[in-house]
Amino acid sequence: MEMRDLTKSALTLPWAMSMFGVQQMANLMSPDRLAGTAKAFDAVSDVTAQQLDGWLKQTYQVGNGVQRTLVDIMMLRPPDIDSSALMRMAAEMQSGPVFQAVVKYGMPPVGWLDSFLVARKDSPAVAQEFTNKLHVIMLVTQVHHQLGLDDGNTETLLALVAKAAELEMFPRLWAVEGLGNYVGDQALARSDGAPVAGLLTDPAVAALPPWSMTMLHAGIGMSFAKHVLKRLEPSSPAEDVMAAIAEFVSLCRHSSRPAYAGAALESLGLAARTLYPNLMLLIDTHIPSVDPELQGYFWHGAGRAMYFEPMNMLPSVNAPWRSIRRLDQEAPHDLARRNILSGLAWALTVVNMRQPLVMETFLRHHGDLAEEDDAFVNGVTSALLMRYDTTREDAWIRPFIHYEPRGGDEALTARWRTVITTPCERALSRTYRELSESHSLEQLFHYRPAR
Amino acid sequence: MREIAKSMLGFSWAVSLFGVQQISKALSPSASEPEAATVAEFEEVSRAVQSHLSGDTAARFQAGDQWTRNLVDVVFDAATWQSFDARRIAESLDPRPVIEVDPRKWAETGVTMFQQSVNAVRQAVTPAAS
Repeated sequence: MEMRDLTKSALTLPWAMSMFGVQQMANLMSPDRLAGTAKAFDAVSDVTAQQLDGWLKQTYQVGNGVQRTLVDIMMLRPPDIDSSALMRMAAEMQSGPVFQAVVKYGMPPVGWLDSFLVARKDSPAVAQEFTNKLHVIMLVTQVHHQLGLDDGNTETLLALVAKAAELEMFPRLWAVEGLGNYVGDQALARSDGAPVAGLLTDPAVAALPPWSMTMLHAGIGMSFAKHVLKRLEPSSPAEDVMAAIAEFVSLCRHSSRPAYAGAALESLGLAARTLYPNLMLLIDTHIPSVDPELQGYFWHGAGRAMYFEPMNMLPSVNAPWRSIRRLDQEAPHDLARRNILSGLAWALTVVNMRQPLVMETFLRHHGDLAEEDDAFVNGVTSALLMRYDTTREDAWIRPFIHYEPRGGDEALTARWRTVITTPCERALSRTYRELSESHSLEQLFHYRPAR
Repeated sequence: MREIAKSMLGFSWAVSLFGVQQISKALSPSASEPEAATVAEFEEVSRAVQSHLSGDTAARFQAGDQWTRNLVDVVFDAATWQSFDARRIAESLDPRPVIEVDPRKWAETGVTMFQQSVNAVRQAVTPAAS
């Protein structure tokens, strides 16, 4: 019976396509129906694309993006590129071979060529930073492959964390965050609309090692954030936005351990700034009426996202860093500004800790800002403590703190001591203990005024 | 017009890749992808296409589709010796339901499209009045 149905369906489709072609040709000739033609083609294309799997889906997305750009260029118009749509597409494709090939083989030569546009003095640092960012992107996107996280995986979270623990120290950090994201996605997919709770508080996962906690929470937060954001648009009414924020907070709080909810909450800003930048101000407006505590975390996540934004990646847009130039443009108020700066410093530190030359070059360009605004120091120390909490045996922590800038620049050396060495030593000897004892390591995921 | 060009190209691209996917599935059938799933994919796309048909085009589609489905039933019944009813076969192969959709409307549509195409070309090649 199935073969008979298959034959019927396979014959119906070309016939329907033929009639569709006739219909649209007629519409094209009729000015009053012209507007509906593009919508009709798009609607059918969308449904057809939804049926594609794996590499064919990626091929469709890439090809469609290329043809749209080419049509714009042929008609002498600037390409109509929506960076948020590109980012969402990249997020969907990230574990696929096309994305991996582009990041691994396509981007390095582009970065190398671009680095010729940078002053010779800054070139090694910004080229290194570009390489580090690509490395982190590769680590995050390869986590499914590394841990075998396909849909049929039946291993427990404890087993998967144990598997992640076997990875090297630096990849482990990103793998655990990716694992948290996977756990959240799977739970939401299985829930069939029912509330998801207890992902990291369930007695079955009580034995999870403490080092995995912050990044697992960050990961489930990312999954929850993507889940609620996809139904929002810039024109969404206030009640829809508030409902989405409330659902996100509820999901995070009901799956987070008491000391770690902030790590999950921060991901709303990371996801929104990366995938839906046009929603940032709308969400910010409504956060205070839902959960005022979320606002700092939200903008801290946005700062992390700004660091990884593709438009801020190439060497030539750093030294001076473009993301710092955009700080005042993006932040609608002082709390947002401080948290964005803290989030940027956080990402800059975590990504480049093994190559302090990058931070040295950053301080050479933005040292005044780093010294004047304690949000920068807060970001650096929080990143260091997070790194210490997750990979305590990391051999790169101490050399980073006690790094001596090259070239005998005394002013820069003094600045390094002021904004890196002294605050980081204090953070390791005092702040970490205080936060651990008060069960508030989540404070590392937003700006806290210096005491 | 720019958006229509993009949409048409995107549509052609999507349908082409859908064809590639179905051919590759047909050439390498697997237990994890039963025929029912393939049928559902075809049906989903067909439904989306049908929702954009209207008037005479929709009627012509329905008639043609019904005729094709009857024909498939007859062929499969005959091939599997489930039934061999000569009258039913003759009825199924009768193309009149397909042809009976008012041909004058099709002629009118064709003439209108041709006329509008000529007008469009004429406007494009005629120098603007100074």
